[in-house]
Amino acid sequence: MKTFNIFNKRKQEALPVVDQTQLQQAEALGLFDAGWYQQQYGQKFASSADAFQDYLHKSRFAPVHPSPAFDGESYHRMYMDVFYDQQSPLFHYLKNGKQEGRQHVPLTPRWVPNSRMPLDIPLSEAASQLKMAICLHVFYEDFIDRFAEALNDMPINVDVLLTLAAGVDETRARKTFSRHACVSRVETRRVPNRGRNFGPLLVEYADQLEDYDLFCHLHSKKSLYSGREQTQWADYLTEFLLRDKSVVKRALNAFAADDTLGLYYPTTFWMMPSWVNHQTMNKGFMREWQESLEIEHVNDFLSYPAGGMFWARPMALKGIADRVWKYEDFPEEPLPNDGSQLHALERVLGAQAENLGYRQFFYHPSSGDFTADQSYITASYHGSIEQHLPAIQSHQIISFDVFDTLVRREFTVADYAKLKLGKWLVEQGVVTSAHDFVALRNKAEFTLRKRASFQGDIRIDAIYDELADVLKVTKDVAQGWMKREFELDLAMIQPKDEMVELFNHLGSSGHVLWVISDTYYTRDQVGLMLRKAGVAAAYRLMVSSEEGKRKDSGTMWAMVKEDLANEHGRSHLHIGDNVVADAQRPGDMGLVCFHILHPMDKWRALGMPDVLNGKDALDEAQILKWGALVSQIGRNPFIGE
Amino acid sequence: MKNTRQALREFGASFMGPAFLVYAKEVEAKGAGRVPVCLAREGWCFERLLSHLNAHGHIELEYAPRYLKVSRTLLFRANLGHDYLWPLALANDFEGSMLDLMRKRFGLQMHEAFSVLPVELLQMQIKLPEQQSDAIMWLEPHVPRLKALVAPTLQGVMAYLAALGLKTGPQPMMLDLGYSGTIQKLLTRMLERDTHGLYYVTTKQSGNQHGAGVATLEGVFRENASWGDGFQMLDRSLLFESLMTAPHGQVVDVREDSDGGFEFCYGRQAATQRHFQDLQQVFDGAIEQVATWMADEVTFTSEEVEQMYESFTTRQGAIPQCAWHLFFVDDDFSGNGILNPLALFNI
Repeated sequence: MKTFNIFNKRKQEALPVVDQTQLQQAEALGLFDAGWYQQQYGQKFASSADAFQDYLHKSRFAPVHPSPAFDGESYHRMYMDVFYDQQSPLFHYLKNGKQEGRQHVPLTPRWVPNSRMPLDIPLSEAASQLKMAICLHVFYEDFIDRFAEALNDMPINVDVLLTLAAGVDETRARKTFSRHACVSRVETRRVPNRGRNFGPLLVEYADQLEDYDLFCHLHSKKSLYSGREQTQWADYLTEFLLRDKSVVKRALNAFAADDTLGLYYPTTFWMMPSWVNHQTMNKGFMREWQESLEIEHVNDFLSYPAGGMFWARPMALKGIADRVWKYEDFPEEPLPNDGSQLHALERVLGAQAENLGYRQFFYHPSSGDFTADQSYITASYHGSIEQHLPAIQSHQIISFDVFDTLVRREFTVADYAKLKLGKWLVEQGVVTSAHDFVALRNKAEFTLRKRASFQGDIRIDAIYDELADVLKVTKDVAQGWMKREFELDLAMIQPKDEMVELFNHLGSSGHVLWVISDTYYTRDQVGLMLRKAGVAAAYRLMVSSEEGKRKDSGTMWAMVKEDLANEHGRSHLHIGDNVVADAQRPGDMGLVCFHILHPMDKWRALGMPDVLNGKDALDEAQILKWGALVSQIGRNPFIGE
Repeated sequence: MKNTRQALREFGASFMGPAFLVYAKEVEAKGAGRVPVCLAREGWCFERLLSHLNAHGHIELEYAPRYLKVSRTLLFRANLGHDYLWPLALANDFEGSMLDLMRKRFGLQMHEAFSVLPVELLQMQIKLPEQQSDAIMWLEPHVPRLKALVAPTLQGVMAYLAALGLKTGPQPMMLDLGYSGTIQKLLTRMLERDTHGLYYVTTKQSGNQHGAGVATLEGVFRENASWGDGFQMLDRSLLFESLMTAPHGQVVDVREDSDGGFEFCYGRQAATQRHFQDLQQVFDGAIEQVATWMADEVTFTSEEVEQMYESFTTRQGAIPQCAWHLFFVDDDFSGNGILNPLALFNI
């Protein structure tokens, strides 16, 4: 719900030294249970102190728990200062938290995989024979030692294929890994700053990857998500891809035992925004990848190695890992925070593996389980409005999106009203095909947007004026069609009942309410739709067609931010279903957002049939068949509400 | 923030609607020359579904559907003591005392059991189906007393079947969820005529002779399915069974009054009966959706229905909270009492 500034500078390299007093205190309070910890996370320790040390190390960046009596993730989420400070939750509680009156809760799993992979912890004979390359891209020199240290417990010998950015000491890198007990061969390449981590990997080593059963790719680049270094994310990935010997052995066993497993990575970093497992701003680039790799369809929410670090069977990335690449194939820096060929490449890896018939599997650090269950990608959307109400109500100004947030369409599909109008125009003899009409109408809209250099937004009456020229009718006639399109849509508008109730409840409890929509409809038209949906509380209505600004481009949010500056410090929260327009864009600008699931996203998250895609999206028979079901299941935006 | 009525209606539409649609069309397709007989308890909503669709011209049924208040327990009681009953009545899992078996599976009250069976026998522990032959052997000496005890029930059921006109006229088409057609087989014998059964799922397709009649079973979504094979419409059918029930619960006895009317006795009520007003919303939502789909000529394949059911019954959170209290089922038949399938399947 909030775009957290989650990452801080790495505080310490060495493992924390176990304080015997703290261990005794933790055990006396029943907050650390070495036996339980060992069983939960599948690792044998020589002593309770060793187990406690392992916990203290991992819990700084991962949701591991010391016992059923203490939920480390909850503690970090409740006390973000502890998280930002990269302290172990239990360590903090014992040292300061208890005295400060901070609370802790018993272990409360946020997600439980629906299937587990029971993997042996001792390395299997087959796994010990795997030929593996570790492909490391080093941008920051300090990662040479960190990666080398992470390889200390690697249960098989590996080849290390390094790509080194300018300024990284090649001699040191070569020396460090050459002397490493687990490394058979080291290769180094000095590389330009192009293609982020993927460019160097693919340009330098794509021709070698097929010589290996597996390759593991990590990189050192510290992303500056939300302006802060993400070392905890890197620590998380390094831990569960390389460093944790129990996890590594089990993952190797899985690959050795099952040829259909193609890609492995830990579940997405737990403190990332809820919508991170989404195509976000990369849809256009994703389409390009899909076309070149012949992937028919990729859902908006998808499982991918967020952070670009993973293990793969080279055959599972055929089409990517076996191509001849050159640096010119990758975009030049500077690249945006999101929305590039490289951001899309990261997201297409899992889809391509599945496209080739392979499966992805994951390590879930909280439960200590391996699983192929992908439902973790929408786990943060489980719950109910009631659960979130206190957090929502704590803000004084609350803005809502309109479509699929406050209102829904009876058949979900936004263009169905246009298709209905098209059918009517066919009956009138104006056009010969309803689908052609929808295409013409949308083209007229696009023409206007293009004419305005995609700045601001346009109104529906302007679209129909344009259409009048295209179809050679008077503007009055075209405006009549415009009215009919709106009426057809209005007739299908229904409330998202629980959300409307929330809206009205917030209004009656004194909150300032804003409604912000990207739409070609006029303010009056949107107002009428909201009235039909039972939105009764007083609200300020901002629609892109009238304001000349859009949420999805960020211009609307700039205006909102300016307006908020005049609100004397009253806090603001925005609620909406569009990942980019309602969460990512405002989040990037420092606005607090609460993302809810679009009906189709909820439908897919529940594993319902793959419907209303491609040509089916505007097939009336398909709309009538599935559209209502999607709308009904998606009415409440929470899973398990 | 709970929109319960709307939530229940829309849950009904999505959870039950697609299967209702396919099933209703199949009833129409197979209904020529047959009278649809909706077997309690699942039949309660089938009867309303079919009557609504028929009345509004969405389907055409040659004969109006009828709701038949019967249950396995009632028919087991009515036929208690007859040789042909044992394979049907003692084949399902059960573990407990003979007294429990008599109470839970054959609907005897305690005093009835003690009036016809020796205490020593009632105290004996039994495990079915393993000890089926033992049970038959133990009960055999007491058959005349058992038959005499249940004679009023048998007479009541026979009179009830006759009063509904099922013994003559068009062939009955028994409608139920499934699975092995025990009720249909017993009714076939009691009606002394051929019957057709149309189920969601059958575990064993058959056209077996039962007395003077042949019971033919047909599964709409799957036939010859086996428990535990991963087909969730069977393996997790308890979820459909929980909802597809009647406001009166299970019929355990029927007596013919002296004026020709009938008095029914019902078993204990599960949460679905106590909250029937909510279940009514679920049914209404589903029926309304089916009618809309039929008007729009929408069809679903069996595979689509199965996939949706699998999603609802295997994904945590797919079944909304507004309906959680409806998922209880009386499984006294197996000695399990009231079951909560959501807890059972960890969803």
